Amino acid sequence: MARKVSARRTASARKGAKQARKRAAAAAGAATISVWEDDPANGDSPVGGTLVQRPAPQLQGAPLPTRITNPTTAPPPQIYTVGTPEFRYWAAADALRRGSDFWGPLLPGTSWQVGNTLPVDLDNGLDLNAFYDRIGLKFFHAPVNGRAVFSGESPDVVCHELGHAVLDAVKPQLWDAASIEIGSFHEAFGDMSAILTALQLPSLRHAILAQTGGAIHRSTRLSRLAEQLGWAIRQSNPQAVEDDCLRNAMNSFFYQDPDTLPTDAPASSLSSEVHSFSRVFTGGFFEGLGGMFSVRPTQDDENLEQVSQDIAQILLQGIDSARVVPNFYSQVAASMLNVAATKFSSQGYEPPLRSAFVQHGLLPPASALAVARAPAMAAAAAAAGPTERRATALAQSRLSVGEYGLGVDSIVVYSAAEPKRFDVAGAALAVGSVPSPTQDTAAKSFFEDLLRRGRVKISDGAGPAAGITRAFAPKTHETHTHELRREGAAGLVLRRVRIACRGGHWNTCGCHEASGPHMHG
Amino acid sequence: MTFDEQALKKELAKRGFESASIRGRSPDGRIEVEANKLHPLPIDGDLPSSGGKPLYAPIPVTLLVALDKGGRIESISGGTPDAPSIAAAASHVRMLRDTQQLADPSADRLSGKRTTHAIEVDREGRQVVRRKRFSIS
Repeated sequence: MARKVSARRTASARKGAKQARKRAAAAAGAATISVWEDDPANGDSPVGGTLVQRPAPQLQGAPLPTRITNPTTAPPPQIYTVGTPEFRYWAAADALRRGSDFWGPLLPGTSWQVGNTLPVDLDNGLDLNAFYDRIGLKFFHAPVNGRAVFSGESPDVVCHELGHAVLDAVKPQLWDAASIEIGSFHEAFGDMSAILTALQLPSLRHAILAQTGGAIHRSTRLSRLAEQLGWAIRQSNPQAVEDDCLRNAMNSFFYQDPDTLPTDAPASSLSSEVHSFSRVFTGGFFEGLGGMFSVRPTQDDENLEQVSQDIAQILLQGIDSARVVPNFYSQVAASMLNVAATKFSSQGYEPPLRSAFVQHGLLPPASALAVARAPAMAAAAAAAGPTERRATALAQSRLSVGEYGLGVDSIVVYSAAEPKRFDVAGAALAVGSVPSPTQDTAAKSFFEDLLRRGRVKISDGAGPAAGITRAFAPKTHETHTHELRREGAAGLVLRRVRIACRGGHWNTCGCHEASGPHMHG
Repeated sequence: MTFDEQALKKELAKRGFESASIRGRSPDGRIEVEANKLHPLPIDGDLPSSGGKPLYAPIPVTLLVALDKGGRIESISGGTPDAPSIAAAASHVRMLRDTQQLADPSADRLSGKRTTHAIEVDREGRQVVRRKRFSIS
């Protein structure tokens, strides 16, 4: 049944997108309004948002109609001065219409949980927040350092809340399910809704492409959610939000069982609080979006719009198929990979999406490979590597790696240089320390960590794990630190080839080569 | 055999299965359903006080429903939350309390600015943790 729904969505999505374009064309004759592209602010300042002129929207039309109930009457559509109630009205209205026009065609026959039309209150009182409460959307205002901040003025905030309402229409069971991961996913969906809806604006796409040179997986105003609201909260609670926004989809948060996390933490750390924990999924999604865009034929405006619509379909179909269980993140991620592999196989989306999910720990590498069942990316050719010494002085051991799809059951690793690398145990969040892994476990953990970070280049003849490890490899220079090389009777041997100067992925600075093979990074 | 999906959901709701969605058919023809079911959380001092009574939470479950020839529910298998799901629900409620997202039962409902959940007493007298809204921060 879920598959039928998915197929219907896929078939109707392009038709819906066409209809949305027709509506936009029809609206061309309408009055022009001035709105924010994504937020009134940019970065860590309370101002600096980008204005764009748009045709005045019709909120109550299909798909997914909305209605602004407060204020009760719409000001005449025209260009208003920033800071006026009239400007704020049309800024919110444009974001609402854009959100409905984006999600509606992907969800034919879907209506809001609240009924046919979603009510929207643009100023429900004093607060620095916004809500979706199954009655409607509610936005607020608050004076901060002499500046009135209205949450409903930000398209990011509006489209986040609209995203909650969309997901509630698609999967109402998630509303009340008592699970941190499910609640966090709802928050991630809100942030993903804001990102994808922003990408429907040609002017924003152009700006992001110009700024990033097509490598959209960077920290930009696309990845930064709700800069002005973040600024406002930061004035009284600097640790509650990120330095330049409320949340940033460009992050390196790695999945942990939320039960092992503190219930609250500064924004720089992960906690089990749903907004904090949502960043793990949003981070994987955003990295996947960037990776999917990188495999498009060209990195231009048209392809960016297309990939934003494709990943939305993959997301919705993944949610539709996912089991509602406590580890909901991995369920959705696995379902999305399967959709990408089976329904978007010709686009080559699955390997970069898999890479992103693995790098954020949403799926372990072996599981990601198993669920996707996609052909591997071309295995990386053995590089003309740096000079290396034979590692005769190092202890050699054989590591079982059958589950990673390397095409061999085991590889040879050397681990003598700093055995403590494999012997450390971190402190548990509750009491004591986590159990020390055995050396084999530690070696495997290290190898899997290299896979997640895209630090292994795999020689010819290896299996589809190359797709996990190298999806984001830059074309201009090498960033891997290790290579799996075929060395005669030993088979595949893990060799260090360089030391990266920075630990995180997306290392864009230079690396220096190591003179010998060590396993520690 | 076709069946009336809305009627089935209504019948399941009477049996305590909330927000049911039909997933498909099992190989033996039974209907696979996902839903939430109210279940008591373990009583311990770490959960919000409920006056010594268990606190209930809606927990996701999967169930298989067999229908008779008239389309009525003949039998239900499954539908009981497993231990990991119950533990996850308890963690969720602790997190809500620690982050002030669970309204103080003694205060006005949703009086706190961060509150997203409240404890309600249902028709059977059970104290149930219910979501009231989503927020952006």
